[in-house]
Amino acid sequence: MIPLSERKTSAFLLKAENLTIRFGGLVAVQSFSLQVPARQIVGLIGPNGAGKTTVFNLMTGVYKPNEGSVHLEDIELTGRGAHVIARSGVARTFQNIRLFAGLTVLENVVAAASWQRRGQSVASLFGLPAIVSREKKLLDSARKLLEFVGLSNYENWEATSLPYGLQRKLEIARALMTNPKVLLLDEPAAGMNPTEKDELAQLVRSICDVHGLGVLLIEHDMKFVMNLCSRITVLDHGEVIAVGNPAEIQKNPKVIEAYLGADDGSAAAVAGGSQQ
Amino acid sequence: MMEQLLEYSILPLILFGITAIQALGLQLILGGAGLLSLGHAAFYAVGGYSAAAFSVYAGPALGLNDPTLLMLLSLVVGALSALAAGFLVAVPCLRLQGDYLAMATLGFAEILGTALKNIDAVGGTRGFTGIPKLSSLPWVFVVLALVWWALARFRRTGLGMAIQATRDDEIAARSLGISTYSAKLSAFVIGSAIAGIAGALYVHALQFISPDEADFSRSVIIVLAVVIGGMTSLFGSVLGALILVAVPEVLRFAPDAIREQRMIYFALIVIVVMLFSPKGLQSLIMRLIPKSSPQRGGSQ
Repeated sequence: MIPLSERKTSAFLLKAENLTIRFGGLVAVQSFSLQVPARQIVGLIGPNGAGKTTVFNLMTGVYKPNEGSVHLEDIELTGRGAHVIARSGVARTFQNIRLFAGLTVLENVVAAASWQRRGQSVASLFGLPAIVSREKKLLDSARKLLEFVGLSNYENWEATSLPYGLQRKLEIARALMTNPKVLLLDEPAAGMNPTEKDELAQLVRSICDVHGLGVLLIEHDMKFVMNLCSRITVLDHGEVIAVGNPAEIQKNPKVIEAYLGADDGSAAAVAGGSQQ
Repeated sequence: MMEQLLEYSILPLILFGITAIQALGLQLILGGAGLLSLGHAAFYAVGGYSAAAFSVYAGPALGLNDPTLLMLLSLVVGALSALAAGFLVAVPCLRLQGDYLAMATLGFAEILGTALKNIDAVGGTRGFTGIPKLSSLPWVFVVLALVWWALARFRRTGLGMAIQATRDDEIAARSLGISTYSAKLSAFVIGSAIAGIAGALYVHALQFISPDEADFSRSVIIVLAVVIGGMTSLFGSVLGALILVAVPEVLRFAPDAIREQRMIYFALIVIVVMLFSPKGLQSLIMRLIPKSSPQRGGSQ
């Protein structure tokens, strides 16, 4: 982690403005704007197919937007390669978990430091003394992150043999290993039981409070979102239909209609989210 | 009798060592980076021909007489020339999605074979003869051990991890700041350079190389060695090379009708191995050895 004192304090860490992307004739996301401040958790919700993951893909360089811009602090990220954006300090996890299946749990985290070790491969091949202590530090920080997400006892497991909930936590540890300023979580609580969800909520909170990151999260579990997020953006059919704090979002008639339209009972969950 | 047997076994052992080094190089490309190269033998031939040309023409011109020094320099020449050839082939192909690399390497092998047949300075169709005897069985095995050791350590380096991450999931690798293009390119050129080293050892042990060494069937043999042994394991590649060299040697004592169908036996071995142990022969052997770390690998 970069010490807080070295972080630039600007109003917003990550800022997306008027993002639009079309796939053929389909406008998947239209004029999407959003800001993620440091030390805050921002939620991105909406019915299935609303374009939430597409927004993540636009911000992390998987897709290039047709219009609009993405900035991290003062750095323009629009249209840059995914690996360049990651190096600038935007890390993410994936809705459909993407761990490295051929690597162990610890190796998955260490692999995230590959870029930081650039130019050292020859030295590290021959085990030169200058490198040995740096590599030890690297392993230490990988282990610390595993401890942070509660995976210390699993470091030699094959990553994909972990239970589902732990795989999601491993993805978070791996993303944190890149020393990000902003963390984007795509449905981190999916497939978790209530206890695991509570642990995850605590984890996300300490990523903000202890490490000082800004977090943007997509999640379908309304209780989870309403309890954690300070601001929420609601997306439907690729357009932002509401922005506000959890209480405002729950009362917003447009949001309720969007969820009722989806007819999956989530509207009740939106309305009843914080009372549970 | 014993002496004869020893003498007889030297050539197969040299061929095993050479094939094992080739397979280790391809293992990095195929198992390490997940890229299919169907022209690995061509990079081997590039290394072999360049190293031979170096020791035949450049060596005397530079006044190099020490055989050890000349051999070491030949290894460097072999590695660098194959690396450069790998770079030229891979740079345009890896920018494209899909299996263009397999096609391009196949094409490169064909072009190289034809070109070598028409260069008189390296013997043309008759092959390159008159190469000094600089390497031997110990040379081959020492280099094999060094390559094996280096590749085993390479996995732990930043680049090694980036290559494996790229193989397993490109999108995730990119999201972690890994340039998947450079990772794939590095794996390909390093693997090609290792093939070039094998070529340099071969020409100075047998004192001969012909354009047939760049042939597609030679590349297939190396792919088979890696696949039979187990793509994800260095040990597997060496094991695969052992089998591919040992099978024709054993069949030498069989009747002609049986002996000449060696590709059929290789095909049968591949089918049987894939049926019973999709991760190759090495995983079969690993399963027979008691596990040292019991917590690893819940997915069996």
